[in-house]
Amino acid sequence: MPEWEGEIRKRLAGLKIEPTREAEIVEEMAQHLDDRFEELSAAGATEEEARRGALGELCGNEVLSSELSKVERAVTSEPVVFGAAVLGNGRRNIMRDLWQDIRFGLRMLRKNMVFTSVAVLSLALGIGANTAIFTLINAVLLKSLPVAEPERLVLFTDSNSEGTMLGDPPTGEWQLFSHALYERFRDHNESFQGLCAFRSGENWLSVRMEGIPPGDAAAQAMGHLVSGNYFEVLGVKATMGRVLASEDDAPGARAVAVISHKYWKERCGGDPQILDKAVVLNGTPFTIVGVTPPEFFGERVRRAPDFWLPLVFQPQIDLRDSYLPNQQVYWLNLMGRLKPGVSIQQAQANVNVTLQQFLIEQAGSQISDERLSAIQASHVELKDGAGGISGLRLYYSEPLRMLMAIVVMILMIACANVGNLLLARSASRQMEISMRLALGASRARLVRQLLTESVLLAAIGGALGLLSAQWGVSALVAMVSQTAPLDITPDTAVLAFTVGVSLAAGILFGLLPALRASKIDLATALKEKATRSGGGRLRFGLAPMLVVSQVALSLVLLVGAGLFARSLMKLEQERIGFNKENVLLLSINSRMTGYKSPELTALYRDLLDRVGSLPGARSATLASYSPLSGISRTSNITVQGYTPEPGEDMNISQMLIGPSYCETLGLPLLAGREIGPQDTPASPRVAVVNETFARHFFPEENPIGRRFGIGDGQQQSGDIEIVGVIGDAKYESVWGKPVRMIYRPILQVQEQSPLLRSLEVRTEGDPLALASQVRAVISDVNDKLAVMDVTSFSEQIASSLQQERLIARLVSFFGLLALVLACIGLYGVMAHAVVRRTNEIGIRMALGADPRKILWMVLRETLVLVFAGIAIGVPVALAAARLISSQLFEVNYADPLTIIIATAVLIAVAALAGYLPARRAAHVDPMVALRFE
Amino acid sequence: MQYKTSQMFDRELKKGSAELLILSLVEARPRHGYEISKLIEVRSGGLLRFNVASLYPLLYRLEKRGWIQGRWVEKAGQRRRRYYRLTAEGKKVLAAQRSSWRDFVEAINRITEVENA
Repeated sequence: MPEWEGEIRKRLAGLKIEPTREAEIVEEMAQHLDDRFEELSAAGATEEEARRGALGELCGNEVLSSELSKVERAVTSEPVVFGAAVLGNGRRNIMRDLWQDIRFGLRMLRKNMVFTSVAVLSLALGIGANTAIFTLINAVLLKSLPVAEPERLVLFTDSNSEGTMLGDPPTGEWQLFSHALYERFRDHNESFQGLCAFRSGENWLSVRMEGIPPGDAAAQAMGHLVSGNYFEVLGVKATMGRVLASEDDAPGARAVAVISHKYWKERCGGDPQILDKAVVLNGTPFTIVGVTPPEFFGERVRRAPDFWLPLVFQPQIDLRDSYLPNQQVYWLNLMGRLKPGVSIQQAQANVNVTLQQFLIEQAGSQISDERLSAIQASHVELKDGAGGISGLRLYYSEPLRMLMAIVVMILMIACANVGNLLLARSASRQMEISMRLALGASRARLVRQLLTESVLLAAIGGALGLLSAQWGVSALVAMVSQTAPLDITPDTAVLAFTVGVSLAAGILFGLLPALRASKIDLATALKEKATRSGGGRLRFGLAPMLVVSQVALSLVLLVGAGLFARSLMKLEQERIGFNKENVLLLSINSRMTGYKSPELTALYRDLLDRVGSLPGARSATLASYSPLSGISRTSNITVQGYTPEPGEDMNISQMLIGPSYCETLGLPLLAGREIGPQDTPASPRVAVVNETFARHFFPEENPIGRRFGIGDGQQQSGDIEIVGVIGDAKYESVWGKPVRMIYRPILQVQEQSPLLRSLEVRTEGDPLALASQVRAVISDVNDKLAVMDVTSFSEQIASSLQQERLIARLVSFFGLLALVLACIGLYGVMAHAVVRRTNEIGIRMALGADPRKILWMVLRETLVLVFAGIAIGVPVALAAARLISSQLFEVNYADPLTIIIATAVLIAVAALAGYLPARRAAHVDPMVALRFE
Repeated sequence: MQYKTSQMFDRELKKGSAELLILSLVEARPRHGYEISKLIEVRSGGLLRFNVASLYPLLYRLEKRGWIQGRWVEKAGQRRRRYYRLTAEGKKVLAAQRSSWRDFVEAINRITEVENA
């Protein structure tokens, strides 16, 4: 085939077309001439004839160049950038530029896979951590209940505690309400479109239903008593049948129930004929009238109740007298839907007026000044109800905010890493960049190209981060709560957050290197090739500064991790007063035995005798609740001969215990005697108190023989005699100090209907090994005694520290992550510095420098960076630690040991990261190094 | 002189219609330059012929105006070729040029038809 290109170029020569364009034209026309040549040859022309015929296409020397000159412009000062595109009218086509920038960027990233993978991995970790924590924040703190217009809902309290209060009206802030007060609020208000009530807490139900065998897991369910207008106020409609209505909550109404979607699916097998079926709950037949939507879980963010039942059936569910007519029982939480345009403050003012009027009417005309001022202090604090009541929100909002701050630091470290990598790379791309500048590319155009590359990196990192966050969040949620209905699928908020973070990160780490890279002095840069060996000492430029800040930030996180770890250690070692080893805890529910108090006493006595005499059991006791189970009970007391200070809190923790309590839980008996089997309803009323109680009320005296009474009145103050003092122990939380406690005999006190009890057994060996035997004894004693939870005491204590453990682990994890990222950055900078100085090092070696000296020279520079980082990091860490000091248990935020350990770990790991390049420098072969360019 | 006029007329006519020819040819599918020139030659029965010197400057002009777009396409075992396809804007231009060409031809026909009456 003849050679055409020379002929074509000859004709284009005068046009001064930009070289790449010219090459394209030549290629295209040569191809055409090839085709023509082949065609003519095929038609039988000789080679020379065909060649001439093809060249004839170019029409002599003038036509092509004159025709082309009308179309192709000569090279101008227009910037020449790869992928530049200019519209016919001279305007730049931004979108096409962008697309070409992206394609070019992807090509550049593919060209250097090591750089790209380190950068993307750093970013994926940083963005992933941020997305994970934000997903949790979104699910726990930001998301609303899945109901209609949740922003108009207000709660009368968002407190997580549940329970019933009996006796005198509450003082100060009201959280629980009687049914009469609920009716008053509901019927006299100007602020709410609707106001509903629901029991504070849920009920265990025993279920008998066609198709569910008794004794099956489905035979136990959770029920929630709600007012008839509950669903209407929340704006929730049934997926099947209907929801509860006000008529269902009227006295004498037919007993109806609504079941949850989950219960219907899982326990009733999704039976399409479920409506109008009968179900017996705690012995009362109810008719199922509807199924709630699958996403609905009630007003509390946790496992959805299985049954929603009208309030009016409280006596049938509780198996006790009705609370509804009783104004002394405070058992309801309230939730309202504001009328459009009414603010929460207006509603609160209205509610408080109604509350105080009600209380004044209730007090009658003989109202004392004291009572009047108590009434005037009584108030309700309305809370935003959009998110419902959430224990997770309560416990985790502070830790989540802290974790968010931590992951932002991680992201900054990751960004600094990528920034450093980009800087190093832009140094090696100096030739390319200066070439482009020399060809006339504008600085803005170059910065845009470089920024596109960094945003591309961030986008890939962000996508990977989103994936890893999903995985991380599922793991986290499993640790936090298995049952809470947390919706962690990424919604628009999460996606927008990730996109925003990735973009911000891309610009953050891309801008500085890009600006710097484009600021090259052309003359020097183009000569750089020849003089690259003169790298010189590590200057305190951008790269070292980034490393110093990385070191500082990771020190902050390491100190935080250390503080939380030490705090957790202290919590775990904290003496809580009990001997936690070898104790088995079982929760038993006597509801379905149908026994009343006197029969139950006999039942319990029998149970304790038989469990206590099991082989492998040392002793057994019964209590109203077990320590650190999250349950507590308090009563106001009056101590004979003790005058309380004005306003003194006489609300004392109270619990009921059986014989051998001290022995079983390992509490020391300090004076007097324990509660024993002799303390029965027939014997004198006695109690044992703890040390804190004794010290508070009888600082100088012997408490044995002293008397107190339950309630405010002086007339009861002689009711109960103190017969013993036992050692302090922590019942509510490992945090804090032991509180004043009274213990009364469970076999003596019959005024409460005892349903849920804790059976506690001290064993010879592994407590859980004895569990099945204890269960067998329980069902042998009475097969209707339900066993709810079985655990060991040490497990229960450990799970009460679950949150602290989770946070300590997370902060440690993030601290390590920060350390790893910072060390990657340090290693990268030092390795790059060594490469740049290979030539210099070679000369030193050739002149007889000791390799050890070279090693130390490089290592010293690493350490300078590390110590600079520590010098900045320690004060920052102290300031940050101060913010979390309230979350630390018996650890000072400025704990010197923690700071020393964190610093030592940082120096050790950083030295290792610096040692590797240093060793390479020391092993440089002078001959190779001198040839190195 | 007579000859010269005819040659000039021929050139102008070709130039005016050339754009229309090329746009029509790349309407159905992308084609490369040689293919376009062959198609013009074959379909016109050898009456119309574009050579390299006239075809490519025209293609580049159309491309610059954004009516067609060229793309290098590589196929196994062949040198790469530049294929031109009609852009959205080109489609509009083609439709306009087609209808004005029809009007023009019709007008010429009406004038040059032998009067029968």
